[in-house]
Amino acid sequence: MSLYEDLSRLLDGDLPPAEAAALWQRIADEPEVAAAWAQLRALPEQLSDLPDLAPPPGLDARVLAAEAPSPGRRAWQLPLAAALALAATLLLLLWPASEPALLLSEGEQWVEGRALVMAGGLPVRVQGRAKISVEPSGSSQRVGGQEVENMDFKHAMAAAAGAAVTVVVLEGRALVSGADGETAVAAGESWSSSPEPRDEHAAPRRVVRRSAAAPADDPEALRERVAELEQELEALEFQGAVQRGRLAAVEGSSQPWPEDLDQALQPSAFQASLDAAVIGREDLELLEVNCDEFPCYAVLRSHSEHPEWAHEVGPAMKDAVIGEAEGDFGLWNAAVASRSDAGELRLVGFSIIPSEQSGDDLRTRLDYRAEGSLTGWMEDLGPEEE
Amino acid sequence: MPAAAPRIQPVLRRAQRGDAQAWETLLGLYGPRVYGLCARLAPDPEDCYQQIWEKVFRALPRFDPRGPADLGSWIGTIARRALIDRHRRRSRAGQVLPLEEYRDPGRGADEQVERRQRSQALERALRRLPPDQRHVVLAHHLQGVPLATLAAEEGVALGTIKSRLHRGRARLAQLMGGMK
Repeated sequence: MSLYEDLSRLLDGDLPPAEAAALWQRIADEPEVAAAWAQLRALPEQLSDLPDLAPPPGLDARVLAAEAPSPGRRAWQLPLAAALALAATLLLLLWPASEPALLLSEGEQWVEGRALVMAGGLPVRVQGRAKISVEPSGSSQRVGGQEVENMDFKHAMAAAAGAAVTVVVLEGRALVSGADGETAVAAGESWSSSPEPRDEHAAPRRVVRRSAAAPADDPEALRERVAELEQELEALEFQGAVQRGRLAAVEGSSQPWPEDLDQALQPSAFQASLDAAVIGREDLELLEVNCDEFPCYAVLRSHSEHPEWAHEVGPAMKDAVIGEAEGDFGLWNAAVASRSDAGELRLVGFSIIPSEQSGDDLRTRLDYRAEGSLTGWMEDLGPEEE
Repeated sequence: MPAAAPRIQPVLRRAQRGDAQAWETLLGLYGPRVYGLCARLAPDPEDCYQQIWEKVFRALPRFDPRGPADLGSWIGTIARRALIDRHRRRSRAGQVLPLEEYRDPGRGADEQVERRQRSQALERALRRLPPDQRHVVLAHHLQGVPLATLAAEEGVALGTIKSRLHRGRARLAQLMGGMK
């Protein structure tokens, strides 16, 4: 049992009195043991302080929109979809064929004049000048903004339940049709289906934001209103950034390729070195080289019978990749194994990080990317589930 | 999990009848906590999140607000059990284990930066724990679940749970920069 495990038991009072007394003595006498004790004692508070993590935008909508056997879910989901489909169909039937119609399931679109926009599945009729933004749910079709002669209702309806739609009217008016009726948005007003900041007991999220309407013939008032709306948009973007920041603590963020990256770690060289290193080796198989982001990593399958198989691969591959390159390079390594009647499946994840590129975010990202690959390969090659 | 305060009761009743807006309110209230567990304990957090809420919504009509558990604890229990099931399925296919820690140079002096780095280091260290240890550490310290409850939920001896906790905390402390 390690010193740290003993300290953990001491923390919970799980050590016999004699062992506890001896360990207290070591804590008093040995600075390194005292430091380890301090590190361990701080852990419970650090763990309990870990923040909640907001789900990615659109995920809640996907949860709500998912097909489910629950009668309660069917009870609202089908009427909602049916109502939206019916509203869109009627609008198209009624809309003059000469007017432009736009299908927008992602991004922003400025509309001037008279137009019908299917924004994330919601029909928005604009007469004047308006900006429409759609942030789709992850499951919805992303077709961007495109003019269509015949509306693609399948796409529009797929996006309807999850997309966050914002309509900002600068001139004229817009009419937004939803399951709960039509909402008129006048010049100087905005309408949004975006989530509000989540506090306890938050109200349902589909909201209309209004302020005193700016007279269309008062340019100064209109300018002020536009400035207010821009501030509101900035606030929403800030909230989004906070949520993305929380998520980044787990998934990390995509890393730029360093301009001065050593040639040995460039994607083509990395791949070539590993290809060469496994040629003729029956104990090692290269399954994947992933250079979608910096740094490249590889997934290898070990057929070695050596008990230390997991520790053999990394250093050997590091030598193969780095070769004569100068500099300080760190080795990233992970392993996964499973046993079944067919034998043991052993996979190793491998990457090289130049020391000057090291950092928490990079490692978090590499952990996240490579663990996904390793578990994916395990599922592909591993034993079938019972 | 936030307690089922009196104001949640009307929402709960509507949610139990399948009211979509009430479900959305529950997602807003408890979603971040559930997603925090999924992001830290599951390799596919979005699938995990969807699966847990599917279970919650299906079981919701059976939840008794007069029972011993408040709504938040009840959702937490469903989440933990779902995570245990997922972990058992994954265990048949193996689990990723770290081999070697790549250490970065010295940390900044600024306290705020240090705190952020410490939090990131803790998240990263958690990801390097074997899943069974990570589950016990997070359930006990983040969710406040007693070790005896975890032992009952997982169907193992209390000593097994304690062993996972001590090993997990020991490994975390080492990864967080303590002595080897």
